[in-house]
Amino acid sequence: MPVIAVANPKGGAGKSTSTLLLATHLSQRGASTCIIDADPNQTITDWKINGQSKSKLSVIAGPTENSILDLIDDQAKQNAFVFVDLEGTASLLVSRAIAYADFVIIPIQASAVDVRQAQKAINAVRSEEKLAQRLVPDKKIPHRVLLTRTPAPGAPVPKTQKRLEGEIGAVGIPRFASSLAERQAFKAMFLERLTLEELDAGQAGNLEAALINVRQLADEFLELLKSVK
Amino acid sequence: MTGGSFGFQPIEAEKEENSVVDPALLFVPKPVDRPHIPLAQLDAVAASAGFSSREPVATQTRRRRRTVPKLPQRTLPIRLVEDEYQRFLRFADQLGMTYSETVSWLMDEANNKTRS
Repeated sequence: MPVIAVANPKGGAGKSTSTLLLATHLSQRGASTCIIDADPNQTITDWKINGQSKSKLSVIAGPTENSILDLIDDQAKQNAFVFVDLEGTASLLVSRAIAYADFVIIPIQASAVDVRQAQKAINAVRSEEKLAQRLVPDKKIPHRVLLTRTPAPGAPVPKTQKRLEGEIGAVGIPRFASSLAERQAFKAMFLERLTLEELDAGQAGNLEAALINVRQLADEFLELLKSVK
Repeated sequence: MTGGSFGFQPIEAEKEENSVVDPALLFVPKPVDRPHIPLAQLDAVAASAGFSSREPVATQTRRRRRTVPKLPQRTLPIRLVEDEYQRFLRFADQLGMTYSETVSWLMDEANNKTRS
């Protein structure tokens, strides 16, 4: 049942990539999974409609501010996991989905603009959490920042990323221990409109490393979800 | 001859009595259960965090003029939670019908689904 909002008002932070990777991975492991595609670019809808993937993942396109909550309700009754890939703006559609989520993932790249915009999403999470606590004192909206487009393991880590990681830790913003590296395989997933598991080695460099990357992130995510009430 | 010349028996592979369930399969579909908070309050809190509506302002919906039916009428007082109230109003707006027409439409649809 967890409803997972993937939010960052900054466009291009890696929301759709993170959403599709996690959702297709969970679906491939046998869990019923749905993505509500609230991105005006409809990247994931395009992946589903125009691709040849045999993934059982379902995709619902085009929610509005008024329909998003009803859609989440409907899909939660049918799917073990409901992801909401949110638009890169600070809109009420985004804030309502955040307020309704069981978990919020905030993808960010190591850039000052991403971080500043991500702070808006974090503030929204905390504000909605406080509001909900008026009715249910121990209500939480768990959230984690997810670093995206990081260097592959073993590659040098840029100073901006190190500084970002330090500052995130210093202000107590929770983040995933795993990150999503900059990988050709993730791009190929959209280009070929297939899941990572469906790609063959000729379509994506170092596919095995990409699969391991996603598995590690998914396993960490599932552990976090287990403790969500 | 089993056990070789010394009579040792082969060690059977231990059966996993409790096979490990994939954590991804521990979650099941179920209805959302969270405290009811009016949308207006959610939006007001979001506004303080810099979120605002990005959708075009809907033009005032001209509801169809209610024609007074010749049949006798009664008023049906119904209390709804805020979200359902708003949901019904939005639905009536989408249909472009009066509230009583919307109720009739919904009952007709439910009747058709029951028969099919």
